Amino acid sequence: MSRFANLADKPKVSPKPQHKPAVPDNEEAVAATASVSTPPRSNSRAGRKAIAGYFSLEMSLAMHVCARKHGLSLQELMTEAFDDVLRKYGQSPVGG
Amino acid sequence: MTIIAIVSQKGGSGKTTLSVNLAAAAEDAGAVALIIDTDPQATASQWGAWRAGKAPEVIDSAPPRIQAKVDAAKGQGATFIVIDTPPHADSAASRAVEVADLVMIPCRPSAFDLAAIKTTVSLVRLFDKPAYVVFTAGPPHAPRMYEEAVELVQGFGIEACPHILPDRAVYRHASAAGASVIEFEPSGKAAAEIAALHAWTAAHVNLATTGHEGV
Repeated sequence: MSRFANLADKPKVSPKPQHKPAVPDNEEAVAATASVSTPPRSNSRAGRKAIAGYFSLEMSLAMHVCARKHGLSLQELMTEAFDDVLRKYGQSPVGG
Repeated sequence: MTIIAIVSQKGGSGKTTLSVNLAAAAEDAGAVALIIDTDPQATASQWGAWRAGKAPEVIDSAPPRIQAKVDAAKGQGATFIVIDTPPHADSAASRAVEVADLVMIPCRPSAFDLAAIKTTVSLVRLFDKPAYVVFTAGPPHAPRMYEEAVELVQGFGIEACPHILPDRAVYRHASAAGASVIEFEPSGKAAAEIAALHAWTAAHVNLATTGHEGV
């Protein structure tokens, strides 16, 4: 029936309002769904810290587009920018 | 295959309404249409769920997977793909624009909304894609106001689509029923307007892909 359902990231959204059974007998089903939709997290954030800032819409867009144009992730682009600014102020680049 | 990106950095501009109705108009005109919903709010996906599998289908996508999904959908027979994007989402918007044949920027004909399309215009320019502003949710009969809005849009270096989608109650009634306006009220004004917009879109993409330049 469905031609493209195999392409979805997540299982189809249930129509709202959704009837929720009061009995907790569907726990297995819920767990199964969760295991499908939650891929195992990589450990790339272990031992690292987030550096965040609030910028204009234009800056955000320009950074995303610049990263995309050069085949980089935003993280890689920011690493490059931070290293550049460290060099500019006479400090050693850290490189991520 | 035709790929349309619906992009606007402004919320409430009618992106999802345009996406689902444009795809439904394409399906009605004989295409195999698909909506790729990149909005975390999943409004288009909810509409798709209400339809219980009736075409056009809606699938979700994280921004980095848009290209792969478009390629896969093409292999599975899709001929008309509409990519719905969230507001303030640079990643989703830029990926959608990148794969699109044509970018449509829905915008209410008000000064605040028009000023907000500047960012979107700079995005489509960076990727050098044909793009048009589509006026949505404005009054049906206000020719002078639309003339002024078109002039303002042209001042940003972008053209306005000659077809508008004025505010009509049937959009809300149809969405609540999980339908498009063409399905909900086939002989209504909104159905005629979206069908005309689809026909224009299809003709424009065909022109663009045979060597004519857009914006």
